[in-house]
Amino acid sequence: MADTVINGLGYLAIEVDDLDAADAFYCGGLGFLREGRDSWPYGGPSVLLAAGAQHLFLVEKPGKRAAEFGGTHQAYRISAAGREEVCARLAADGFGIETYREDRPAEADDNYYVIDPSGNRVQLVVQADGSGGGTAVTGIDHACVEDIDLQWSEIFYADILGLPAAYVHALRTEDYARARDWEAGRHDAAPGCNRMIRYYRIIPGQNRMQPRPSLQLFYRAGADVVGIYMAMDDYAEPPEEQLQGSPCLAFSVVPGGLDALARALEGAGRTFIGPIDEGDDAALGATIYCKDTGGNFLAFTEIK
Amino acid sequence: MSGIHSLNHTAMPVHDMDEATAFYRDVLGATSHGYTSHDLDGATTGGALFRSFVIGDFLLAITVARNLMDMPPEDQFRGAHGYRHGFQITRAAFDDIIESLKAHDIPFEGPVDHAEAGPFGQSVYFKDPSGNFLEFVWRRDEDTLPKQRDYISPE
Repeated sequence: MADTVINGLGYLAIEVDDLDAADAFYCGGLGFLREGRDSWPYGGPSVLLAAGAQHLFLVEKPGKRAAEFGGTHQAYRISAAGREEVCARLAADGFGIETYREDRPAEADDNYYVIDPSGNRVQLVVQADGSGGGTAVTGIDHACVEDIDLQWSEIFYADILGLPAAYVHALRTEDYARARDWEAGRHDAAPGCNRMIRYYRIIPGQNRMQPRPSLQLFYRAGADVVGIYMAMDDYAEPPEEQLQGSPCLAFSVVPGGLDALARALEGAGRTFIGPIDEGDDAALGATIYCKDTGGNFLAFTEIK
Repeated sequence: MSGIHSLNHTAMPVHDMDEATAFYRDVLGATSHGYTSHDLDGATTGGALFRSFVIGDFLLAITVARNLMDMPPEDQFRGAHGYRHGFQITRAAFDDIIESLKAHDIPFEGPVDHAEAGPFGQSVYFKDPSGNFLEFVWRRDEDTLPKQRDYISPE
């Protein structure tokens, strides 16, 4: 797709095991606004939250996530003063604030993380223009998913969706040096950024564990960013025929852009559903649903 | 030894894969041939990340050096930084390579004339961004040599 029709992140749907606890965390803690209940059409009970023009669906599903392991996380924008206040509030409520660092330069020093009550990793990013002094998140900055083959990811996000690259990690010698710093305790890397492996497993004396940086791709979606991390381990993908579900990362599409997107997906042989008219819902609009090459649910929405 | 036809491919380390990709693709006109070990299996078993490029009938694979390599002096264009790749090019396309180097601000030495009695006509010498020495040479006997073939992928 030469010129992308994607102009940002529209919404995220994340899974939570306790809707009330999640609602308290995201509204009471982060300052999301509650807009409705049970409007997510592809899962269990849900709550719809808003931050600026972007939305977050909390979808109830039993079981804790494992945010401390891989690169999957969601990042929300907030003012510098607001982040200080939110972090203090969450810390007072017993949430641990992590300050490990990611590899993408744009966020390497923007490192405030908290795990929500369901195990989802949340990052708070100071909005680029430094504007505002509110104490609530103002939108989605970036969201990261995992894949088991990042060449496929590159083809999907860059070639098919047409998203411009923002950053790639693990393709420079300095990235390997940073992984060694992480192993030596000199670099506090975020989960999913590195792994320990054996390079020469069958050679006696050379089968020690060594650090390796994880391949990470980042693409711009308007003013927002989507990241794809090399998965830390293999995982079960949804059934092939299932194209709608949670968690889901939804891109917003320019008016009239869904047809071009459908042609791009069709031309690349990708299976998709839609456009589906999801009614007058503020978050859903007309939507195309598909999965990326890692089996992550994606939606492309054109809000009326 | 009989049966050897030609050098099929080489693999070499670079400091920055994206930088090298831009160099081999945009400056030298190489075409991308795919990635190796950009998957979970490669990541967990220690497979080196490779990107491959086709130059003529030759496959050049680059990988990320895990440690910084010594860089040759800036003003040195001929030598062996461990090795040197010398690509054969037609006389007609030789000037295009030099123009491309100039257009991309890549410093080089040449054209350097070879002895008239030998098969080599002229060479141009330069380095990739990681200091790997490269050479393009045209041959006086190019009309008697096998014509350029396309790279044939084993896949």
